Amino acid sequence: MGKRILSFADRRRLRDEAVVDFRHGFINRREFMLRATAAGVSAAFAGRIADAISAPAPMPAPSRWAKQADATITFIKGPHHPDDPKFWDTLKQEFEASHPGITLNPTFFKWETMDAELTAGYASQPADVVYLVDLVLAKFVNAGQVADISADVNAEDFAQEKAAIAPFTWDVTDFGGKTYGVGALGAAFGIFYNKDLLDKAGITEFPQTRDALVEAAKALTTDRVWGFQFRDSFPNYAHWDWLPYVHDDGGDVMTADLTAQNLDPKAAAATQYLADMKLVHKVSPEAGAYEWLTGNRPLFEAGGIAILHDEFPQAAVWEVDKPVSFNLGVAQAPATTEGGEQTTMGNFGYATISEKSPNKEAAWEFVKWWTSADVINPYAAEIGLQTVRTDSSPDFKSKLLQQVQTEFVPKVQGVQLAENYYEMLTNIWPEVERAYRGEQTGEEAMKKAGEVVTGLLGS
Amino acid sequence: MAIETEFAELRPPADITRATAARRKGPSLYLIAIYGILVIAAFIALVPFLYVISTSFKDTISLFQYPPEWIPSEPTLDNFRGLLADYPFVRWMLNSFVVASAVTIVKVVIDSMAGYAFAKMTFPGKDALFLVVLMTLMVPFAATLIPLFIIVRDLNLTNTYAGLILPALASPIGIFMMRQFIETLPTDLENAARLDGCSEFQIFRRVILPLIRPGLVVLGVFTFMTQWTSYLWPLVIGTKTEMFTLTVGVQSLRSLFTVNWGILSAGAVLSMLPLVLVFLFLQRYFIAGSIAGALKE
Amino acid sequence: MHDGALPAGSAPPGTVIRMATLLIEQSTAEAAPIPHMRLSRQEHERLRRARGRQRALTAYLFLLPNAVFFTAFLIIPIIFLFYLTFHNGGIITPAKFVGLDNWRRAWSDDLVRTTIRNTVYYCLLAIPSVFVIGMILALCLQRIPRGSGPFRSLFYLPTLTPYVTAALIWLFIVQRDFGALNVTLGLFGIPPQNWLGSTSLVMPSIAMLEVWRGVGFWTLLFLAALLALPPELYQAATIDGASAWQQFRHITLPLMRPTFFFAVVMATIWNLQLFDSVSILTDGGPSNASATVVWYIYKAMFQFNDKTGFAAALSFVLLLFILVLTLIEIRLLRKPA
Repeated sequence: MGKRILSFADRRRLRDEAVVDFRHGFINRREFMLRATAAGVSAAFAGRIADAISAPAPMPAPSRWAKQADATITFIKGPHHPDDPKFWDTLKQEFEASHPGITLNPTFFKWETMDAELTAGYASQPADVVYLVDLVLAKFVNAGQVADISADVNAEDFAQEKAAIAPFTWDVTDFGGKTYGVGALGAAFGIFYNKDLLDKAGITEFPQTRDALVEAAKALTTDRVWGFQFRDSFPNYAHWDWLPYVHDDGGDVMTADLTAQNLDPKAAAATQYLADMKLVHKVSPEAGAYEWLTGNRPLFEAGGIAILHDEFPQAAVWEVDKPVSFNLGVAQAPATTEGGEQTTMGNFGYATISEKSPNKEAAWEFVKWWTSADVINPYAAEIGLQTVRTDSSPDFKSKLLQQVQTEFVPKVQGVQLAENYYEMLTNIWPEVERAYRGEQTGEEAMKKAGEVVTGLLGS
Repeated sequence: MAIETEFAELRPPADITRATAARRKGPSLYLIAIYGILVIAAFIALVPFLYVISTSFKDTISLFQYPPEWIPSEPTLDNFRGLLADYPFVRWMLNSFVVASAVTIVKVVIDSMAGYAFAKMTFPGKDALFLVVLMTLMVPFAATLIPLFIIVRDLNLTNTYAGLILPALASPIGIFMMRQFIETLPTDLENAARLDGCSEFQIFRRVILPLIRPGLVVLGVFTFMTQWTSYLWPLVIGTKTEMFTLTVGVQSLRSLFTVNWGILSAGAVLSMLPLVLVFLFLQRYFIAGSIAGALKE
Repeated sequence: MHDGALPAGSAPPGTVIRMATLLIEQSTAEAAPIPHMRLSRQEHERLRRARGRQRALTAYLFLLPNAVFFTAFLIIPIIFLFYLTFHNGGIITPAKFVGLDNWRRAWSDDLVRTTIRNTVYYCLLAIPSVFVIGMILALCLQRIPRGSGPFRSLFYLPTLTPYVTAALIWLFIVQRDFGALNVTLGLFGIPPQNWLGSTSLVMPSIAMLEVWRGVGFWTLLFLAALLALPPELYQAATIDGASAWQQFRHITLPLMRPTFFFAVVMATIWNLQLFDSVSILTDGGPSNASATVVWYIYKAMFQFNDKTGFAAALSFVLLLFILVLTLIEIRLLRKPA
């Protein structure tokens, strides 16, 4: 009845608009279309973004850099000096002057957020050349983000350079017979000692074995001086002070082929040795008592610690920038027994080229240039870091750094590079700390840690 | 006379409320005790800064000295001078100021709009949408950092002000706050305006906004401060020194192996100074406007 | 009487319009038998709905600017995060579908349980302390005749400190030999404590830092609420002979319920996401005693190899956990006494 009265226009209008009641779920056609479109568009948008994030769009085929063609390469590293950006302004000019056609764009990540920044970078468009420290190198190689540079490294024109860079670095950057980076810079970690205190205690030569170190530490400990101190908590990178004792024993976190855990029993002895320094010999403060920057260092400067494990770049401060009031010496962690081999802990960084880089050849030119003796040595001297070259060494202002470079760096045994290394460490360390507090023996700690490592290798 | 007596009888005995008593009799033991508590609390709040302020006037590479020197024996302004001369500190401050101001202005406008919609309007999906807003507060920022970074990077916004500002605009807390504020306003006002033929936007502009001005100040101050101290996002998104914000810039003064703590402390002091000033000037509004009204459901 | 939960302006928005349309509906229903009025009724209905639709549209317009930013910078990342929970990799390696594996791991992982326990323990330490101290300071500030301004500024100062600076400051405070905490204890003859190195003291230390940082904010909040309470009630209570404690217990606390509601909900959401100070001061140690959920998420997301899916699933476990707690709190706190 009603229908007959309706005009055509009315009908059309009603058809489109009659039932619009969201509350009861009535939706007319137009509304439905509108909603569907909105849902579709947002789903497509979300999908596109998810796609873009999960499966990065295929990169354009690498344009091969020719001497004539212009290329801009971006380099990213963490700051090794508060004035690092300024140093790099100079380096950029030098590089561009000697490499016409290539523009260098040096950038920096921050060490605190290195993991987040690098992950985000690799997930989209990473820098062409990335300075990767050994702890994360394996992870990003394993993810397929680092370019295989075997061909460049083994090329004839690089043979001489390759021979001039420490062999251990080539072991580190070797994954399955392929090379993924060139060793550049690093820091070595070991012992600083207060010569005056040692002299007073009648110790003329720094102890070379573990037993001798215990005796020395006992002789040095008074009610005002701790004989021996090392970092013992995770945020202070305590593993750098623990690992040389593990290594000296021929132990390591994994076996040499990285297939099984190797923490038991040699690492157990090392852990127990350090724990005994605190708990049995009482020559070292209880675990966690002194934080590194507000505890260990100022206490050492004030003569409250005789033998201190720390990072060698600090020599530049204690010897040059703000000299300590006593004679200072550096040493490696002692060997297990007489004649045993001592190792030095080191944390090194490698110049790598990103798999996604469209300018790999230009990037390689830069890597070659930066790691060459003429460039890396003055730079390392400026920032107070070690280099890995065996043919020459930086002209450090600090004599101790010179000593570290010539005597200790060749003996560096770094971390084993497994892609799970960080997770292993995060799981191992709580057990080591329990041993340091005397809640379990070194053996128990390493047994549990070993299980964690095995589990992670299995996964 | 008679009236006065009557009043006197109605007045509560002077010693019943101690607060009123105190007000009337001047300093009492009770008031001294209260001031005592406040002074101790203020001391506890302040003492930690003295470490940083003291360090900023020392020529120091070490973080700490044995024995500690509370008042520098040879105070120096070198750290402040070095900071301003060797680093683009003024640029960092400008960056922080630009970012914090932009976010604050936009947030105050769009959050009051959203708050008005949630508080006073009916529309399908209102509760669901509001729950979504609340739930986004519960996702840790670290978890969404990477996808966010990729989106911003794909929009070519790294090392730009837009890259620093836009993601900060997606913050739920202001909407929540403004909804709480606006809900307390009597509905009669808008209805009256509506009967006068005002459009929704006119109601918002002419009736609601003037009424919630204290709330806007609270939100503004809160947003500005959050942005000024914000750290993780500017840290990740800015890779060029000239695009650092203050917090990132100050943090960049430390390198991996050696740190000049004097410079770092001077940076920390200078970065907080403007904020303290802003707060000192605005705190009158901050408290007078009071969050109180907003907090009623 | 003043009802804390139901302030004057809480009449449901749009009531007048709804009543008006209801009246129209009724009048048209009575008129239904007249044929030509049938159309009129439809017409009214149409108008009513068009009006409702227009109002909804206006509301959406008001929400639009926020919606744009939320979608681009919050919702899409969260959707992507959800997508990651069902995959391994997906950020720097191709995503591999693994079904519910990551969710299962997030529920069964021992360290997840430890981190949840630690986080809850931290909240139980920090939230009540910060509320009680904040409330006491607010009550004190309310009672002093002058000088309240400078005190408020001083209390708020720690809140303005960037996290990195605050954590650095805290290293001074807990320093073994000269730190403020041990020096203070020494005055009472208590031996120096191992604040960050002991498994039992580390969480209280972190909580102390967070209380120090946060108390200014809550003090201001509570003070603002206190100042808005109607003074007549207190005068009446005083006349009735109520003691200060009784006034506080029976007037102040019930009237502050809405403030507490906001405070508890926000404090729970914020504190369950404890990360920065832990990451800077202890990195979860010693022996995982200060490992919190977000700390673990960060580790798994950025430092571990190929654990992004697990980190994503863990984020949603945390989200659900906070959501349930918040809903419980809303339930408990919403009903007036």
